[in-house]
Amino acid sequence: MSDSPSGDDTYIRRFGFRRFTGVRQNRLYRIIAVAWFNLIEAIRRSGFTKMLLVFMFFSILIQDVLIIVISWFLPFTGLPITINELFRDAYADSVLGMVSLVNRITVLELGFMPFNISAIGISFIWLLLMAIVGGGLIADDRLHQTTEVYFSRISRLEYTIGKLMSLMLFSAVVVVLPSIIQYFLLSYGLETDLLVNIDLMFWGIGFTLLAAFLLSLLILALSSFTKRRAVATLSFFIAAIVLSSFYSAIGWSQSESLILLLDFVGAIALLGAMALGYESLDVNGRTIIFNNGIGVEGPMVLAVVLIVLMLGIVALMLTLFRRDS
Amino acid sequence: MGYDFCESIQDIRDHVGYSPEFTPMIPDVSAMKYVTFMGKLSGLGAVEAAQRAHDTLHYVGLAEERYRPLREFSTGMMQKCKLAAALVHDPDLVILDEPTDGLDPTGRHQMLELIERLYKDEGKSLIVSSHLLFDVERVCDWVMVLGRGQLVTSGEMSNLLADTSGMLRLKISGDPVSFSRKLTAKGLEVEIDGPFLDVKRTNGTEMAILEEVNRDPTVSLRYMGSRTRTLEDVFISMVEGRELG
Repeated sequence: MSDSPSGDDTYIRRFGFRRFTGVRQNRLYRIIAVAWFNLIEAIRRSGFTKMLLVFMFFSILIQDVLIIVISWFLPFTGLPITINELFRDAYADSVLGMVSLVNRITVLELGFMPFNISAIGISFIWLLLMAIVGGGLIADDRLHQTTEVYFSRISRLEYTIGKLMSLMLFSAVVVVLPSIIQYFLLSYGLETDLLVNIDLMFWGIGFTLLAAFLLSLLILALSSFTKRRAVATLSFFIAAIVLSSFYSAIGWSQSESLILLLDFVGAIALLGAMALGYESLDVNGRTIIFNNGIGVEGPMVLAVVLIVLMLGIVALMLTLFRRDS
Repeated sequence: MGYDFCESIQDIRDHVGYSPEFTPMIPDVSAMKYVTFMGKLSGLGAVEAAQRAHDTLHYVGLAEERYRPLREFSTGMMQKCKLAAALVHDPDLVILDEPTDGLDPTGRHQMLELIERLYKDEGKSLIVSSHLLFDVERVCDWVMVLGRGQLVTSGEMSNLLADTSGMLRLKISGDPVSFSRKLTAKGLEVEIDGPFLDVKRTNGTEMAILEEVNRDPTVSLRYMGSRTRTLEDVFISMVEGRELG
């Protein structure tokens, strides 16, 4: 057998150009490639993003540990509700808190304040992270003219889904995963059966994914409007905070004021509570009843979320599928 | 390539490589990462994409610079990187838009050599779009001339550059004006074009010219042959002729 290589196997040839004889991956693989590459690069290039991620991780950790510690010292005898009900309310409250900005949306009664500790700060950090990571996803491509290179290899729909998936993956790590961990930690702290309330964990996953999807859609739509990532990032963050502030600033005199519906991030939390079967909840300490025929009603909340969804889809499609984009 | 455009647009994308005129860039990413990512977008597995990115960057001459971020690349390096990205998935057809734009003479020469190697050694079909007609003339064998968004003419390079005027081109040392008078006196039709003399070719034209050169001691013949045209001549005559028409 000869040791000298020949033909296409020569050393030089292997470092030169060679034919591709393998099998090409399916379309989903390419979408995931877009999502993963963009996510990693968006996080890698920003020190501020890394810092916020670390801060958020510790916030969630402290919140979870606090729940366990409090549960050790609380006397659970003589409560008007069962431990299981307390678990459900506390968990729902904690997850809803991840999507409550200025307005504090809670399903826990004030008597159980020790469990009303879901860090509102987490929702701020999450929103800020989404704005920072998502703001440049399409704007940077337009600025550096990489969209044409993408479109020469994948379709516009695949590109859009890939970018959306990028933010969804990010949210999965930042809010969906913590919501699952919280379920187990709270269950451990209150010594409830894991399987009895398993529906609650699926609700937590579904709700955080829905919130992540809607916010991702909005930030991507804004990112597709401009070539400047800072414009998309700031306009999204400021719009969310300002719209969320109207209720506490102007609508404070009426607990059922429709101004609450301007808080589109809060509307997602309201819808989440409705999906879990709550007919009323507290917003900034005032009770909102979804089916009393006064002010904020369930269908209105659903309509707001659907409008946000439609706006995001239409804006994104209009800019991305425009002939000159 | 044998694909139906409407039904197989995704397959067509996988078999076409495209290098745009502008510089698409992800500034903080290395050439290696960029080309690997492009390979993945064209359906190569992660390992295969990375291996082919190494190979292709080596092929275009960026082996040493492959881990440098793209923002540090010069225009020439970026042109090569774009070519590597267009080739990484082994396309059958490669579309290069202004591949030599902004390159210095050495870079331009290297790029044209790469293009020649691609179709001569690797058997790729290439479409080169360029305003630099000398480059097109050097590497292409089929030309389509576009003017004002319309196809002006198309054909094989050799046919387009072939002279159809029936003139014989001369270059002499000595006074071309007095020599042209002598040729005219012999009944030849002569035009002066700068340092050249164009003589209408008829039976025995070459012999008549040689006799006259032999007779005149102040003149020596430097060139006698067909009048050649450049692609630029063709372009100007075609596009200007069309505009005048």
